[in-house]
Amino acid sequence: MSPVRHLDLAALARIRSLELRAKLVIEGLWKGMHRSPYHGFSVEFSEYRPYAQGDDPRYIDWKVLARSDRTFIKKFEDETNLRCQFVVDRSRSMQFGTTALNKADYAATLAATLAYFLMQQGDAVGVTTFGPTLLEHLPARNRPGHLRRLMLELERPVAGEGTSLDLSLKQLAEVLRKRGMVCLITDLLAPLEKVERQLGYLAAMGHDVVLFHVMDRAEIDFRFDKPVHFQDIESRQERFVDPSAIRQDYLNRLNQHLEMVRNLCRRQGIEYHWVPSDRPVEEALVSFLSNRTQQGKRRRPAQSRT
Amino acid sequence: MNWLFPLYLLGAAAILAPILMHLRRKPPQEKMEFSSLLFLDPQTPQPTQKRRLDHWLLLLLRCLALLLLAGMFARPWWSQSSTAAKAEGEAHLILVDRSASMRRGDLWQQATQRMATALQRVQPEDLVAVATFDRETQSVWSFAEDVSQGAVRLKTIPERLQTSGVGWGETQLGQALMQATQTLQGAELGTRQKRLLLISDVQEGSHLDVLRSHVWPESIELRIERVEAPNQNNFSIALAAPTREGADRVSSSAPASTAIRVRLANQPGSSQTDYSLQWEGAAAGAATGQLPAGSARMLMAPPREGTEATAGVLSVSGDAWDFDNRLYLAPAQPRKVRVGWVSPEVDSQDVASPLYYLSRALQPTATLAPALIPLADSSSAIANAGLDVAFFFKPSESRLSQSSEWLKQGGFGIWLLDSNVKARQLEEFTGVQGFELQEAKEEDYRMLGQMNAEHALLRPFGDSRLKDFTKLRFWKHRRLSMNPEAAPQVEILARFDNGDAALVNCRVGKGQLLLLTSGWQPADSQLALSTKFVPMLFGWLEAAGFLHEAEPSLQVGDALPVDSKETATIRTPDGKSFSMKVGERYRAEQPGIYEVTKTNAAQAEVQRYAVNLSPDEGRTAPLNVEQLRDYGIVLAQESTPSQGADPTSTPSGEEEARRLAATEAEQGQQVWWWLLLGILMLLGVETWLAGSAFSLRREKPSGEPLTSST
Repeated sequence: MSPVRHLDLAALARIRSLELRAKLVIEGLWKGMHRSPYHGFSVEFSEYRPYAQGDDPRYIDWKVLARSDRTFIKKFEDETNLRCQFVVDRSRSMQFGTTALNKADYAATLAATLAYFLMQQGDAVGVTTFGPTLLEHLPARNRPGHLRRLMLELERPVAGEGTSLDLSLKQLAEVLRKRGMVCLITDLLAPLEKVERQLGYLAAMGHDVVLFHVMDRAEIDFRFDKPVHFQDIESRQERFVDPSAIRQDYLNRLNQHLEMVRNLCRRQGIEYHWVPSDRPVEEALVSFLSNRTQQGKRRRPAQSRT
Repeated sequence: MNWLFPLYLLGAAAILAPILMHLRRKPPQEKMEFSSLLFLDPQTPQPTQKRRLDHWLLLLLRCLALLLLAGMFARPWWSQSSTAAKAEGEAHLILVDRSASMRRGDLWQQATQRMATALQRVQPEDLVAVATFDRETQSVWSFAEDVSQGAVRLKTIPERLQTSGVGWGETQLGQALMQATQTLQGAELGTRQKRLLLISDVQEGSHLDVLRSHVWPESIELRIERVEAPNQNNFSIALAAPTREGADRVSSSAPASTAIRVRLANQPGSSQTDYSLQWEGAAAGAATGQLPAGSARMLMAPPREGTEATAGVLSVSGDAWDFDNRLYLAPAQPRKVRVGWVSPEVDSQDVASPLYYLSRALQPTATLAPALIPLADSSSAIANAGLDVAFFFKPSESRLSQSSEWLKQGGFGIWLLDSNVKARQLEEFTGVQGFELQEAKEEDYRMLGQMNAEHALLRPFGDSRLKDFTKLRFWKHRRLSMNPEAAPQVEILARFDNGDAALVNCRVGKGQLLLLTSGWQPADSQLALSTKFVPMLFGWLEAAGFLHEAEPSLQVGDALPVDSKETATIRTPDGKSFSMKVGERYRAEQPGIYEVTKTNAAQAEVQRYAVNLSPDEGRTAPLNVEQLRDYGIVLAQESTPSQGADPTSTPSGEEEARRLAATEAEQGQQVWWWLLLGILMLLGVETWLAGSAFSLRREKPSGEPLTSST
């Protein structure tokens, strides 16, 4: 794979508008895509059909016209009713961050970028935010102005206190009427038993669940050197920790947790993406798209959602 | 460097506190927010860093401040000046009490021993002076002598002290101390430390009042070595003022006119109360009684027969110390006064004559023995009569002319003016012109209306009891008037109620002439028959220099009242004789009866004088030396060893003296002040540094991971 030039996260963090951030990422991605073997894919591109009198000229593929001098209309999933709901964790633990973007900002950027990309592809996108419970729910749409609403919701500051992932997923299952793709973007710092049940429930409902597991580099490496009182950002509990003494134990526990998450996703058929917050957003997007492409090739004949 | 209070240096150990505090490791208090404690186990705080000194500069400043503080309280001082003074030595002035109270027991021997011991302790480089004192302060060994003959001081001073011996004078301690300080300050002693040592019994009878007006020098410290008698059993006797009332008569048969009143006292702390009072040499007649300790009593002396009933030695016994047990009483020796009666009428039995009354009024008293000498016109000249006072009555012209020179040379005359006296005679006799004299034509009697009782010639009438002349009648008088210009020489002392002069005083040369315008005989007035006649006569004698009051008794140290214009031989109570030349005065050095024989008279005239101890010398109870502080005296710790202790042991006063010298040096240098300034500056810098360190610590954001690496 040829190296893809990614936008600097620090530079990205300086862009306050999520929509612009997403646009830059996508444009950077498209540029990269022209040099990458992963070209010409469309996550939910269905087919071309000849232009017929009365079709919306916005959907004419002008490149094909230029290439072949024929007028074709791109058919997308929305034409086949593809829906994607981004479920973004807005709890206080997402405010932790030691890089240019904290987890909350990274999750919002990732969600905005994916939403932007999908809406460009003609998919319907919605956003649900949660903390101790569901905070906000915007159903999947692909209408003019809907992307703006999504961006505004994702730009809203984190106000949540604690996290109740299982309760939020349960509430989400109740509000999602139509089957579609559910992209859960969270740090997953919660007991997994209840979460697995709710995620399994969502998958059983026919939703295509994708899990973006966002973690900060400090959480991943735990490279602190001074004994301090670690204070839980949500519960405010304190624990005195000598990092140098317990680092290995912490990493073991973390790896255990990550293994459990992966196993959970495997069991429930959930697409899992581990996303460190210091990783360029494009990489996460590419990974996601690549995975979907692979899955699309495997599932398309069997999982037609039209 | 020396330290005034070296114990405070132990406070320097307080620097351990900041050192320990700087090494102390507190459990970390920093907090850091983390996303979740899900993967963290709780641990107890354990300091992992090795103990090391943080902020060494702050630690250094704090330790230095504590060290300076300990040093400040210890009060350092440099010994350079004291060393220099030490090299030069000290100046000691030793005062030894030789008053009469030191005759008790072996007090004088104790005092001389203490003095010898004090001399032994004196260093060769020191200067010494010794003085004794009782009523006067006498130098035994001066600083000047010590400078030149210091090598022989140890031998010479005791010898001189022995020669001086104990005296009989009263204890003028205040005077002695004052003179001692003046000696120490006035002598050329360089930078020597001045020390004053008093060796005395320090009795209550020491006179200290003079110290109230004396400012005691702060650089002179008084050290007292008290010599103590084994007990306070002491009676003292003193002559009391005579009275006819006799508060405590010894015997009812004692005639009041010869009664002698004495004051008997028993000292506080005395265990003896029984006394016996009697005349020395008398076989019987002792008066006994009891006198509680600390009390005094007025007593009448036991009666005594004989011509010298009031002379001799009264002695009290019953106590332990007899130095003040004797009261010497000289026989009464009235002064002779030669009174002349210059008149042709010399019959003293003639009741009509003024002489009749004069001769009976001028009776001898205890102090005066008037001798009335009638001088008729045919008798010898007045100048040869040796008259002290002359009364003139109807004198002849020749007598007047003879008497004029006598009067001008200082004579005192009284002229009873009769009806035959001419003004011219007055003018010639007095030398004052302008007299007018005539017999007053009175149908009624006169009384005295005005009297200048303040005049010396009429002083007896200053007493309110004698001022009332309303019962005195004058039947006849002469009206005397004079030229107002004669006022300076002539003075009217009394007037009748009609304004006529009754008594006139004229100054004639060196003498005085008193003019009575009315006689005292019954033909002229009732004066001779009144109670005022005798006081008036003796008042005139007193004005003429012949006091009729008893002279105060003499004390040891007083000069005998011998006329310095005469030569005399004095015999002391111990039998020694001295010749006193003209101009000399003799001071009695011991109590007893002194006999003074005047050698220039036609016949030897012996006068006896009684000299006694000062009554205060009998107050032998010990004085609380702390009372000396009330006079501003700087006292050293008394180094008096109690009786029976080794007098040659080194007293702790030397250490006290060194401490005082050190205190003085430290107060002069005041190094502690600079240390205090240093402490304040150090604390200022420390405060600023500590504040800066604290501010730097607060600038690090809280809740932020200290380090994180990917």
